[in-house]
Amino acid sequence: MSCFWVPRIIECARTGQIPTAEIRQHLAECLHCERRWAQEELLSSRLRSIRQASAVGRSSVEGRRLILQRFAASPRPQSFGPKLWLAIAASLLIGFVSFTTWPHRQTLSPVESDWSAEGFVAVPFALPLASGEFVKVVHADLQPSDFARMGIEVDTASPSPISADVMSGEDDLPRAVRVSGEQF
Amino acid sequence: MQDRAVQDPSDEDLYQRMRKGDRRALELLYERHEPALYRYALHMSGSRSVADDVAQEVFMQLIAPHQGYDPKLGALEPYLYGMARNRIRMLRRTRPTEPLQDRPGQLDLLSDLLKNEAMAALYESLQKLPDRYRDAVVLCDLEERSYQDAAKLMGCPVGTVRSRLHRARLLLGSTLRMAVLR
Repeated sequence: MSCFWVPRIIECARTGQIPTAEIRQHLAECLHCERRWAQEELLSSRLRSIRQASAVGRSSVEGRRLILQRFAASPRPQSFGPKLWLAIAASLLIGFVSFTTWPHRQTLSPVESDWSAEGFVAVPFALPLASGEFVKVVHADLQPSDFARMGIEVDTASPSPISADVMSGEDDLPRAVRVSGEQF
Repeated sequence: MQDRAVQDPSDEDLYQRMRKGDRRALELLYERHEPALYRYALHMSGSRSVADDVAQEVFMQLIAPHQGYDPKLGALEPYLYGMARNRIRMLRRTRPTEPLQDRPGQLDLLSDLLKNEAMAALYESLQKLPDRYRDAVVLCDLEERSYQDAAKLMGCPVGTVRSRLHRARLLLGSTLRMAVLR
């Protein structure tokens, strides 16, 4: 049974507000809502305890130190100097020589190579496909927010849905996305 | 107005400064988002090791030279939560979780709290909720985000957040009531 007052009762309980006179009157008349109110109050108080307990007692100093250390070690765009350009040129030359003289080795799996060749962008942190796993590609009109949920950024200001091909594994979780046109 | 922008720069401004090598901007982003991302990952996964991993890895990805965020295309925070959500989903499938109660010898109020049978039942029930419902409870009730904020982070309309939360609360409330009566 669902009563018109239930959403108001829930909001009242979860925000810790005192019920208004109309709500109180309804609670006195409706057994179902009275029980629901008691349940919501109990749940709110327990969730509040969890919230308070999880807000204390943890130090992120070590994590912060590691991030800053990694950041300091990572290359910066403005640090391009003559030595860096020389290093890049030398790497390119070595790479070119290696490529033309050594047997070509494929570093990406065949499936991943096909993805990028066909314009798919991998979903960050998605599980790798198992060997021999079937994939399916579904064409869909996705909202920019759908991309954000997958960790892929597109223009969220865009009002219209974005036409895209979504590649999923056998578990139906997305692995890669290809956007049609110039909307990325 | 300008003073305020200097004192309280947006995430996107901080991100741009960080990309140019500003260490302080990264520190500010970390201070602003890491604790909440950790708690989000903790409640979404029920595991401290997963939460530590997620909070750290999201920032590792953010500072990586070739990460995919572009400030022109949207706010940073939904991007961070999107990365966290994907990472949690992956780790929940691949890593066994340890009960939060089993953390002897540390000052841990949450672990202490979950020694209570009803609280443990409630937290276990939260972990068993479908992702979309758990997301709503964690963001709205445990992180006290507004419906509008939660909608941005979840990538769905405000009404959907509200209905998911109400549905989730009904499920959690029933579990809790039974645990208390037991």
